[in-house]
Amino acid sequence: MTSSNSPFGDSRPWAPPRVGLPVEHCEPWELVKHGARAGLLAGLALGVVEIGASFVLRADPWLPFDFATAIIVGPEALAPAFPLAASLRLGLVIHVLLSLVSGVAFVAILALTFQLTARPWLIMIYGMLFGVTVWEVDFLAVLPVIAPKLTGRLDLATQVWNGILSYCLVYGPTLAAYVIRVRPGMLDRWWRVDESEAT
Amino acid sequence: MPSLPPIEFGFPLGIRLTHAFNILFLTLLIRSGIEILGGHPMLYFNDDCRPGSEWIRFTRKRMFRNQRWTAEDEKQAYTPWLALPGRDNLGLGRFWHFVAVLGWLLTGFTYLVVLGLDNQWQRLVPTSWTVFPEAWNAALAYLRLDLPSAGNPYNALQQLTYLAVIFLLTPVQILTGLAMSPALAGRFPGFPRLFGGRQAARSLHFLGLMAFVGFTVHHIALVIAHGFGGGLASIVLGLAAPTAAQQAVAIAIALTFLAALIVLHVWATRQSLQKPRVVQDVLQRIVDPVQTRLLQPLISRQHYSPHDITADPRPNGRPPRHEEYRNLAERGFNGWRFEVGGLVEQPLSLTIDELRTLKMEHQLTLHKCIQGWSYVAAWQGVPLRVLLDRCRPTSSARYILFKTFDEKWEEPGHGDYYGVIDLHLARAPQSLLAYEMNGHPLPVDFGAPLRLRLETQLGYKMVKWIRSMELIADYKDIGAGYGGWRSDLLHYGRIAPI
Repeated sequence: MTSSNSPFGDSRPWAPPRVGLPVEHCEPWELVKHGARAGLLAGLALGVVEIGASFVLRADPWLPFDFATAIIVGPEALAPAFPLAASLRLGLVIHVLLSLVSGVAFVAILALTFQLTARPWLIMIYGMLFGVTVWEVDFLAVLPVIAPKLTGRLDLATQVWNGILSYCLVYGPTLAAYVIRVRPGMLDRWWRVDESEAT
Repeated sequence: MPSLPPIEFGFPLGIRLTHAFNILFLTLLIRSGIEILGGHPMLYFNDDCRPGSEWIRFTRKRMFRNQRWTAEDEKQAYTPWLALPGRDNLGLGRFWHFVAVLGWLLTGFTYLVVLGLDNQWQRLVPTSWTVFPEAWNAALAYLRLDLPSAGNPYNALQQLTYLAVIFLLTPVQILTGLAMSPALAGRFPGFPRLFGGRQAARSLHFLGLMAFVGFTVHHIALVIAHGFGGGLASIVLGLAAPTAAQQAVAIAIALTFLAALIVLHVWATRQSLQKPRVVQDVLQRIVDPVQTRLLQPLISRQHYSPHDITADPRPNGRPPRHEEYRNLAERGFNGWRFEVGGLVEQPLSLTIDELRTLKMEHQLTLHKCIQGWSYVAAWQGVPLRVLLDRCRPTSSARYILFKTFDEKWEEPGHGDYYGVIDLHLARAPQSLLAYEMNGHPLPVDFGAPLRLRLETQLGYKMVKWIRSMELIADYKDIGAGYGGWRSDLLHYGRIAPI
């Protein structure tokens, strides 16, 4: 954290030694790999839930694909005439890409804030907050800018379920569950009671 | 109720300026707060701070469980890209934090005055209970990815959010920050208990910081959603209905401000790391008068219960290693004499047994380290005022210098550890030279044979392993002249009531 290449100088004459055992390490490639896996898993869970919710609420299981495709193509992707196969392919690619990027971002944020070894309940809260934030940033901030015609196109029930709840209760918690299960970067649990260490 | 006149969405100059200063001081507060967190990167809801009982931590290491370590080992140096100034500079981080607090409070008061001068307060304060159903409708509109209709000028959800941030979150941050002051907690021990104790206050202070960060993210997201250019023109230029050109100007000014803010932060960070003494001098001149006037006169009235005593308190600092101290410790400090001299009419030289024959006091208090951790312990010893009555300081004596056995072997070349306190602090209640801790002779790890207890100050002012005490007129010619080893070397404050 104190790279000598930093533009910040340091005139202090000494740096006191610090003892302690490392409990996590930050290996970029490993974190990207696990972030991508977590994102893929969470994206899959989110996709399944959104397809199911669209089927139940609007009798149209493919609406999430149309919506994802419309980010690139525009509102015509929501028209009945738009080819379903194209919508499925493009929508899937966009969904997977965004899921991967968000998964990597989640694990990276945990690593940079030393939270890879956080207590499980805390990581679950991080996951839920991250899910809400992804929804809010993606749909309230980014979408109106890149695809303003897509805003206000869904009824409240679909939007509540396909939007904030599925992100908060499915996508984020799935990311968190992956981190809790796999613990990327974790070397040791700091809250374990263990007297076996050598002195 | 009569309907209120409509408010132009464009903001008056006072609001716009205080908004800009708010950004400046909040960013300084957040970065310096991160530096302070690095001093003890763990948060608790118990004042014992038992290792492993923290609910959250921001460090990649843990301490050995069956090997000696001290609280200083738990520090985490954060990068200067994030913390101000970064690299384990707790002393300067605290100075920056307190200066930013003063600026932020001044900004806040100015903002409130501006709000009250005309009908600007209506932006924030709901005047009808219909604000709640209207806020619910606004929330539903956002959930539909739609924008709720404008209010007067905010919609109800915006109004309630801003109201909560300004009149709820901000006071909570101020109060939880104050609850960590040893002077206030010493004078009003019930105050931190309002929040569940010092550590709970520290945790809530951190959560408040997170709430501010979360609010900022949501605030920016919704400004973008409502129209970034228009929002910026309103808060930068004060225009209610800006043209495209005016929006472009507002964006340019906002970007310039952002660039200036970044330059200021980089400059402050570099100066702090490269010229820490200069920065310490400047910031101390701003902070010290406020602390001296408001907090330093407070006296401690702590009375904890024996049930509150922490079972396994943290030691801090490594005991002296030199031959003289080791020999004395092995003999139970028999043969050691505590010298009291300097500007006194009657110099004293007392053995530990003679100290025990003097009037003794007993107190149960909360030890508060500058790093952030704490513990409750019982202390027994001689009140400083008893010694002062016996040695009779001359009229020119203003400070007390404590010399120690601590040669600071782990950081050689910087002289023995010493501390200076104000004479009036020594005469205050619960200012003690302790020779017992929790009913036993003071352990070596906690400062045997004698340590200072000043219950309105942070732990680093309570010198351990005391060799002698000297009444002095000034401290400028001692060490680097900042009134203590840590103030000289680590840029800690000379006084530590917060």
